[in-house]
Amino acid sequence: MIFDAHTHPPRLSEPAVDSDGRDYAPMLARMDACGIDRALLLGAVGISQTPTAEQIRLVNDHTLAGLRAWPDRFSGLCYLNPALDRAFVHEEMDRCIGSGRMVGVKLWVAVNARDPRHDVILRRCAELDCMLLYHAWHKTVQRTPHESDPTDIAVLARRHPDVRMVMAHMMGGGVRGVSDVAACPNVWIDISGSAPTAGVLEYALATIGAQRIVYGSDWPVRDFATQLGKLDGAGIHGPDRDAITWGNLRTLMGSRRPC
Amino acid sequence: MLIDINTHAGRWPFLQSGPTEPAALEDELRAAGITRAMVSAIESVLAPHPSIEEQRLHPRLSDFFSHAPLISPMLFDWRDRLRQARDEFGATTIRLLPSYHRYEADGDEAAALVEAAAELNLHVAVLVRIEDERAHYPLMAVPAPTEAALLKLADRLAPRPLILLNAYRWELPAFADRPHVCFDLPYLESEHPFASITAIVPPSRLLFASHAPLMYPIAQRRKLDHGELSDADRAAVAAGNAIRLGLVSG
Repeated sequence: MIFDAHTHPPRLSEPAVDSDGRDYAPMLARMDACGIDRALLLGAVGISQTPTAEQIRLVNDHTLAGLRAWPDRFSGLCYLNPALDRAFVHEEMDRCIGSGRMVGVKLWVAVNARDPRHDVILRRCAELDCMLLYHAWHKTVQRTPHESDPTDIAVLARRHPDVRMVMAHMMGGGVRGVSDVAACPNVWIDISGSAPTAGVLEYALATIGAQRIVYGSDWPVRDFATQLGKLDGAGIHGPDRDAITWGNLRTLMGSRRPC
Repeated sequence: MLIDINTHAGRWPFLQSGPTEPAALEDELRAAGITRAMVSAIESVLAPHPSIEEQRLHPRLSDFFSHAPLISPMLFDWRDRLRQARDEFGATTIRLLPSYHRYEADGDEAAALVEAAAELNLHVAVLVRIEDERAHYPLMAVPAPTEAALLKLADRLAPRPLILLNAYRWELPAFADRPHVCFDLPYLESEHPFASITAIVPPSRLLFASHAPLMYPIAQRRKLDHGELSDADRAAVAAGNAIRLGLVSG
């Protein structure tokens, strides 16, 4: 089985309003063509790097539509902006996660991971026993103002050791990024995004082990088949591959994992 | 048949990368189903005299490889190196790297070199980049040549082909109406790679490549295999276009 831990809807920046889920059909067709059984939807986050409450609701409503229409193909994360009002954040987490409809939280670039405004979200993640997936990248150029790098994720992870979190974009963080979070047992790393750059995955296998790596593609920014090819390129087969392609994500999802 | 037009021998110092020695690189490429590969010395990117590294590489190459040496027009002996490429290395193609070798793609030096290459019946490929700029070593942020500069170079070469290696998908539209400009695959990726690429340029202008050992060749193979191209288009991208252009023999 292949459960892609990092996907977005076909129109990354334009969540369909009042969707019945049928706009996910091109994504499902591509999943079928590439052998992807299930996908974790992270939402049309491209709507804004610093989303308002209204934009957050739009994104999450669209994700919920996908989950309703295709419950056997999708799970979903609740997109949040830690800069928003604490009451709204709590309300949205309860609406999406507390209700049992989503399995965790997605955070992007609105606020840096070190910012204490994350604490209300992560405390609630611990209470709800849900996972967190956080964008991170070591960038020389094109870094957005508050974008987190793996050292920021390490700081957050140590502040909340009881929250299971995925640091996204292994190749974006590079070997340095793997090293940054190696000593944080509550941090997994997804292999999504970036070109199929050789060497980092091998380093991660040797440093943190297959049990803390998850397959993700960052579709539609990237291609399912090419991103899966990273596992082939690193020579990952058998139990390690099963762990990476579905087993570890189920661990992350905890009691919220699909049957 | 699967021809890889973009591989490198040697170690790129800023990445862990795959196999660095030609023999091991060949093994990895063959394991991915690749039957022939064009190669240059990765050390020639940063070496004070790039052609010396190409000269060191050549005796270590098996017949699996077609040597496509990196040549800089900033070298005093670049004309000799062009002749060496054709006569000693048996090259059909030379590679240019304006960004790291510090000349303008639309400048006089590049113009003189491509003109001389044409006289020697050598094709020209430009490495637009070695790495994603976001991953550049902080003290070595090397911007890629501008689209305008590459367009000017392309127009100088026309109608002879210009191969752009490691272009991004969003760089393709600028060259859509230059039918002699072709692209390789390593940095062309999206939700449905070939559907989005062939909306801009036809399959006849696409060339399979891996950018090994910096990238996994098998991942690029997967991109091609799941690209939902027709059999004819797949065969063209896989090898036919490279043969038709004369980059390698069939």
